[in-house]
Amino acid sequence: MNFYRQLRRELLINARQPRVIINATLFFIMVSVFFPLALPADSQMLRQFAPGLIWIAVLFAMMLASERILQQDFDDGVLEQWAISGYPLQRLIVAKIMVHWLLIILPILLFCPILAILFDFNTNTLLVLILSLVCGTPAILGLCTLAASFGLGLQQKGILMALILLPLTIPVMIFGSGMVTMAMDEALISAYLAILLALSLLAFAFLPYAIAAIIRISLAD
Amino acid sequence: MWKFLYQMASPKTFYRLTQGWLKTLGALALVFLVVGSLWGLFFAPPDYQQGDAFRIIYVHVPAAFLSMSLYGYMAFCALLLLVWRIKIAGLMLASTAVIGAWMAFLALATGSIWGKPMWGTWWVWDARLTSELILLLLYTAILATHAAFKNREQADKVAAILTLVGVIDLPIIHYSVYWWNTLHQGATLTVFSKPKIAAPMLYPLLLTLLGFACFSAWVILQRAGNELLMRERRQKWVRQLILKGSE
Amino acid sequence: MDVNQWVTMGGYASYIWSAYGLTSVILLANIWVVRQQKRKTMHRLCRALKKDDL
Repeated sequence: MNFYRQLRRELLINARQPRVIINATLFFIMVSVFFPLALPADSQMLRQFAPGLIWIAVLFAMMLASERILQQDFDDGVLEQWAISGYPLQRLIVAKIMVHWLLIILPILLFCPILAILFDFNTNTLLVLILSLVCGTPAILGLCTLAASFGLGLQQKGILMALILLPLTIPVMIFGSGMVTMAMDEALISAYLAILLALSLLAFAFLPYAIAAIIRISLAD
Repeated sequence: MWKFLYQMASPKTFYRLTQGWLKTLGALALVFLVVGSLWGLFFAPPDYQQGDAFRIIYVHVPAAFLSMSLYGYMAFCALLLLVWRIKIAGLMLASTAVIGAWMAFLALATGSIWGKPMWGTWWVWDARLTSELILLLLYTAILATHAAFKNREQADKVAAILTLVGVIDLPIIHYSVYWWNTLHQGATLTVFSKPKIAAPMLYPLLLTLLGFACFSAWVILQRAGNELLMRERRQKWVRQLILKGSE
Repeated sequence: MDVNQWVTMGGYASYIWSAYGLTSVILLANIWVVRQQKRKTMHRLCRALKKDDL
C-alpha cells in the first residue's frame, strides 16, 4: 500500500519538476551526438565505437540525474522521517529507483531510432540496443543511487560519485556494449542478455539494502 | 583463542598488544626484505627466457599479492564492523586501505616496467592487469569516501559498506574483464603466461613476500595505533600513556 | 658472481633499478609518514594534556 503511494509521490514530484529528467536526457543526446565529431569521420570506425559511446553516454546521463535523486529528500528531512517511520526504508528506495528509471529511460529509448540513423544501425541492431538498455540500465541506476547515497551530506560529491561508480559499473558496461557489438556482427546475443539481466536483478535485489544502510549512517550524525 | 580475540576488541588491550609486536615485525620486515631482495637481485640465476629482467618479480609479485589479500582483510574487517559492531575493526579497515592502495599502485607500476622489455609496451589491456587497475580505483574510491566524512566512526561504517559492495563485485568485474579481453584478443588467451618458477628463484620470492607482509602489518598497526590514541584520547589509559611518554 | 653482470643486469639495468628504486621510495615514504604521524599525535596530545584540554 505504502509502496504505491510512494510511487505516486515520486511520479508527481518528477512531473512537477521535470528539469532533472530533462537535463539528463539532453545530456545524453548531446554526448552521443557530439562524440562522433571528436572522432575521425570514417563511418566504419564510428560503427565500431558506437555501442561503447552510447553506453558511456547513458552512464553519464544517469550519473548526472542521480546526483539529485536523494539529495532533495535528504535536505528537506523527508529521508529522516522515513528512517524513523518504521516502514522498511529499502522499499521506499526501490520505489524511488523504479520511478527514476522509468522516467530516464523512456526519453532515451525514444531517441534510439535517431541514434540508429546517425550511426547507421539496421533494425536488428536497433532492437538489440533498446533491449540492452532496458535490461542493463536498472543495474546502472542502482549503482548510481548507491554512489549518490555516499555523497548525501557532502558538498563536492561529483568526483566521489564518479570514483565509486566507475569500478562498479564495469561489468554492466562490458556486457551492455558487447551485446550491441554482437548484434552488429549478426551473432547470438543470448549469453550477454542473460548476464545483463542477472546483473540488473542482483543489483535490484541487494543494492537497496546497502543504500538504506548508508542513508541511516549518514543520518545518524 | 576466543578469549584473545575478545580481548583484542578492547581498545586498551589492542593498543598494548599491537604496539608490543611492532619492534619484532619491523625487524622481521627489514631482514626479510633486505635478504630477499639481495638474494633475488644478485644471487638467483638469470632466467633463460627473460634474462635478468625477471628479477622485477621479487617486488612485483609481493605487491600484487598483498594488494589483493589486504583487500580481503578489509572485507573481513568490514564484516566485523557492520555485523558484530566491533569498532576496532573499523579502525583497521581505514588503516589497511592506505597501504593496500600503495601496494596496488606498486604492482601496476612494477608490472608496467617489467612489461616494457618483455612485451614491448608499457600497458596491455590484459585481464589481470585491468583487474588490478580496477582494484586500485576501488581502493581510491574507498579512501576518498572515508576522507569525506568528518565523524570518524561514520566514515568507517560507510567505507565498510563500500568495501563489501566492492568485494562482491570484484569477482564479477574480474570475470567480465576476462571475457572482454578474450573477445579482443581472439586466439591468444594470455599475453603473459607465468613461467614455472625454479627453486633457486622461488626462495627469494618467498622471502620478499614475507618481508612485504611484515612491512604492511607494521605500517597498518602503527597507523591504527595513532588513530586509536586520537579517538580514545579522553580515556584514562591514554592520559597515563602520554604522561609516561612525555617524561 | 660477476660484478659486471650485477651492474648491467644483462642490459635490463634501467628497468630493474627503476622498479626497485620506486619500491624503496614508496616503502620508505610510508615508514616516514607513519612515524611523522605518530610524533604529531603524541605532540598534540601532550600539549592538550598540559592545557588540561583533553
